Amino acid sequence: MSKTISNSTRTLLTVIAIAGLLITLVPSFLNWQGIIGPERVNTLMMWGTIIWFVPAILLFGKEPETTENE
Amino acid sequence: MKAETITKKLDNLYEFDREPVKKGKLQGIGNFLGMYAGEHVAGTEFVIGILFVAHGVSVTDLFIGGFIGNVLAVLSWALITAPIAVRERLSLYWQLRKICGPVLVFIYNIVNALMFCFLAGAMVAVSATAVGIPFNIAMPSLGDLYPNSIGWVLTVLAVGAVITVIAIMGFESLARFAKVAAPWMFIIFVAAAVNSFPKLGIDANLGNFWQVANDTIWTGTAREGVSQFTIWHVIFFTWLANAAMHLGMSDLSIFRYAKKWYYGFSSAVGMFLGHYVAWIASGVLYAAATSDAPGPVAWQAVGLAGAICVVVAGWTTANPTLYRAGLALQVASPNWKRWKVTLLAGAITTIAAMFPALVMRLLDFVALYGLILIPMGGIIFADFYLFKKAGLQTYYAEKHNLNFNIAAGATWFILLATALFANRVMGIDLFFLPFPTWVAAIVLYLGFSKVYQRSR
Repeated sequence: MSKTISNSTRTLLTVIAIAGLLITLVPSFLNWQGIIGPERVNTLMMWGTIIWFVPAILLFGKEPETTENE
Repeated sequence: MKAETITKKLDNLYEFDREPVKKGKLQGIGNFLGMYAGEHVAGTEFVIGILFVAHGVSVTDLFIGGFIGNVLAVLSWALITAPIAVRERLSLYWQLRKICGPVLVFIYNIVNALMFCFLAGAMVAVSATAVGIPFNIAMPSLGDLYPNSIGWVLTVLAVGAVITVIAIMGFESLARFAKVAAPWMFIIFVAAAVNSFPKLGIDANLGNFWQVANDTIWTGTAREGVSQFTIWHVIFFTWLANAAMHLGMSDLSIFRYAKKWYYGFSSAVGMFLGHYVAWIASGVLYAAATSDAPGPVAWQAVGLAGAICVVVAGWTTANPTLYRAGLALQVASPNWKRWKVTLLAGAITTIAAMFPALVMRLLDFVALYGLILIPMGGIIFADFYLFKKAGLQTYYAEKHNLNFNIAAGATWFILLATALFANRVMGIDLFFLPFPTWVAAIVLYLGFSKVYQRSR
């Protein structure tokens, strides 16, 4: 998998994955500060989860290229 | 089964790592940081944080006791396990085989496999608490030891079956998925805790955090029917939650790939993210929830993402544990294929998972797990550091072609019997037993070996 992903695509996927984590984390702080409600937090966290997993599986869920001794 | 058969099967199973790790296979510290961060933010964290609150741990107990316990755990990995690992570069199996002989290692393997099945069972039950939410299954509570409804049994059966089938079909792909899930799980832990702050009345500027923490979260008073914990319980539990891995030396198999002994300090990432921040976070969630089961607790905090996190956390912890149990059981099975052994391990795991006691008494189980395996770590420690100074032969079983090193076997069995007596008759909590048992293993093995080696 890693051989088929170009550097620019890899950068883009990394940015999307990090955005996913941020979308998962930040809404709870906004709820605590009284800016958004708990229902919206739940929805945003679910979106953040999806946005994290799709690129993260492409980036990090690859088969190892060399077999480890383990 | 004959000793030769056991030896042959064990050796075949561990054939690939018979030799010390070669220089070209050594790994940088990044791999160890990643591995520890991933492995210690797991399904167990959801339960342990909850149980600390239920056992009446106070704020000081948790924050100071947890800190001290984690520091001791990191020091155990860095100063005891890793130095032996980088000098010998052998897996736990081969190190034990050279000291204890294959038959004793066989017994150790079977005990280890059963412990793995029960640990995986606890994680299947954790996942089931989330899977059961849409079906309105009656969830087990703190006092439940036996299955409390048909719905619970069916949910556990379904989750156990899925996890077993996946373990049979492909452990590797799920292991990679677990690595991907680890950072997200940690974020969910933190986010869910922060999202619970308003429910607990914590001000937006954190001004009343300690007051709320004292009055509402870690109140210092145990829930009804649950024993009262002190700071000593927290210190010893936190230190020895992974006793089998550090003082028990299981992680020799990991650190034999380390370039330097001080890579042992990389365990700090796992300890302080998983066994500190995540335990604190799950305690916060529990204080804001109306259930004792991890699934509903996470669901109430952050909805679907929280419930998915509980399923994933339980699943990704259960799967490699089930795989390891299958591997360890393989030596005892009559030439069964891997899938059959994994199926057997899965069946034991699923049946165990039906008993909520496994989750609700997880702290006791984790302590027992460490206690049973820790004497072998003391034996390795004595062999490595003290035997030459005491004029004794190291790797005695290998040098004398023994199937069973009686000095090591007697050390292990006597200490297990003593620990059982101390717990059952003298009423000493399981948490306090692993460290004295480890020290006693060093002393006893030295003493027994003096007599044993001179008598031969």
